[in-house]
Amino acid sequence: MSARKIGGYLATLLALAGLWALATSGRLVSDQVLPSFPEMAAALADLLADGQIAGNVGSTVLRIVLSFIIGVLLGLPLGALLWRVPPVSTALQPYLAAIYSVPLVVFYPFFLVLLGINDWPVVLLTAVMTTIPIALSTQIGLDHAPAVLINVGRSLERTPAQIFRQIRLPAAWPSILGGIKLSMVYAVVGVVSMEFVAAQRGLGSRIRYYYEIFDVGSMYVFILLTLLVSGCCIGAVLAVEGVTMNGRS
Amino acid sequence: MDAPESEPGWGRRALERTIAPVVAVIVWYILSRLVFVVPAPTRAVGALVTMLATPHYRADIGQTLVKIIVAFSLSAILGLALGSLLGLSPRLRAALEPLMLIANGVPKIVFYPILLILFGLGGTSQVVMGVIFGTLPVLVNLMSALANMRPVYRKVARMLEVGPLRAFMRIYMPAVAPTLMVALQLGFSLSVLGVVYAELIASSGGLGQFVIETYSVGNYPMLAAGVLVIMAISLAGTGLLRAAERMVLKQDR
Repeated sequence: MSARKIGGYLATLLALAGLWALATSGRLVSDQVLPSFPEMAAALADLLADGQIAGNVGSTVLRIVLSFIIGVLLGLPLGALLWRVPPVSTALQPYLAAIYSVPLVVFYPFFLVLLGINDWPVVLLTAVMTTIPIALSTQIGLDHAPAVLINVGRSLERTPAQIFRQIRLPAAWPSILGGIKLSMVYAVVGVVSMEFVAAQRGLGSRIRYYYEIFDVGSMYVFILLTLLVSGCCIGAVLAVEGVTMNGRS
Repeated sequence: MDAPESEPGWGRRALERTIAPVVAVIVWYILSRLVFVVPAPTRAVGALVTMLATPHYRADIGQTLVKIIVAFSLSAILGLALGSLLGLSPRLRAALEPLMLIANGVPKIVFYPILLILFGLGGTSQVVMGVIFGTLPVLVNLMSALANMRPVYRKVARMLEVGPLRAFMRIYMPAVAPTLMVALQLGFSLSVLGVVYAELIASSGGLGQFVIETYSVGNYPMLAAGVLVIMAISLAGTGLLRAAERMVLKQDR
């Protein structure tokens, strides 16, 4: 990411914070809707003192990372399979795209009984969402490797395995990366929304808890923390993209 | 769609498409024998019949359907309008693109409690959540499609001296139609998710609330029936939009 882009993001965040300060300082907005910065600082101090922050951030991040890793580990081979065996692709493709519109959290009760009260129900349900974009983008990437490059490999008498590793995979990489980025977004969204609806721990469940006891200051602290954590997770993937795409357009 | 060299016949494709659902039902049946909370498919279908025959539950389905339709329509209109503005105006884009990309990446469900504070438990909160979910993918994808459109389209518009509205309808829109149609499907899926997630968390009615209620009393066949209805709504909507995509793109040729 270029310095100019980062500047754009920072300017946007500063502008939002400025608007927020303006809205709360003159009490344009009720503090039941939007608490002021001092109120949130007080809530943050309390939450830091009783050690809630670290534990909940930790468990949300762990769930996000696990579902992302599972998505990558399952998505890449599934994508290769979809590319290699067209009937599998015809059989699965329409459903893979449709799974996104099903709120997977409705399966949570069944997973809870199957897997017990731990991180796995949230992680595995989210992994369903993280696997699909990687599988689809891997398939598309492998499919669209320029024929001329493949032919060059053939005329240089490379084995099919060499062609795959040296030509097809690098040609597919930008597309696969696109899927990986999307997968991280889904990991964050999936984990947080499932925590919101069903879990007892984690940032999503805290936001809901503080909403339910009408502690708006603490609720906003956790909302902002969630946004921060998701920004960091997505930023990490973008950094990896920057490194691996270095020197390519 | 990528057409492989030997396109299989229509019948064979239809056959291949039915494999996944059949396998899913078989796995479901096996699971129902192994795990007590998973109801057998037959019992879920029985519960579905009861659900559809009960006016009270039909009202839940109707309520969710209306919220989804309203949320998606608003998302499509807002996404189209804002996405076109941002896509065609470099100045606006410079100011607002970072905000849109941030908003598109974060879990927007975290704002639902704020909507509840503002609008209460009634339908408005869930519709607004559905609009927030559904607008951004349409907006962001349309914006970047218009911004990355090949310069030749703008040159053609200038050369033919067509007005901005005509250029938009006749040149820019057709140019980005494939992206737009996919973005609308994504927007629909996310509107459904927004509405149902909101209903699952807190709502005065609807399918999400139905699922939570049946879960809390341990009525798993009914729970499964509710899940089936939600899946049917999203599959039907996505299917309709896919058909619309094929129609729109065929006209283009």
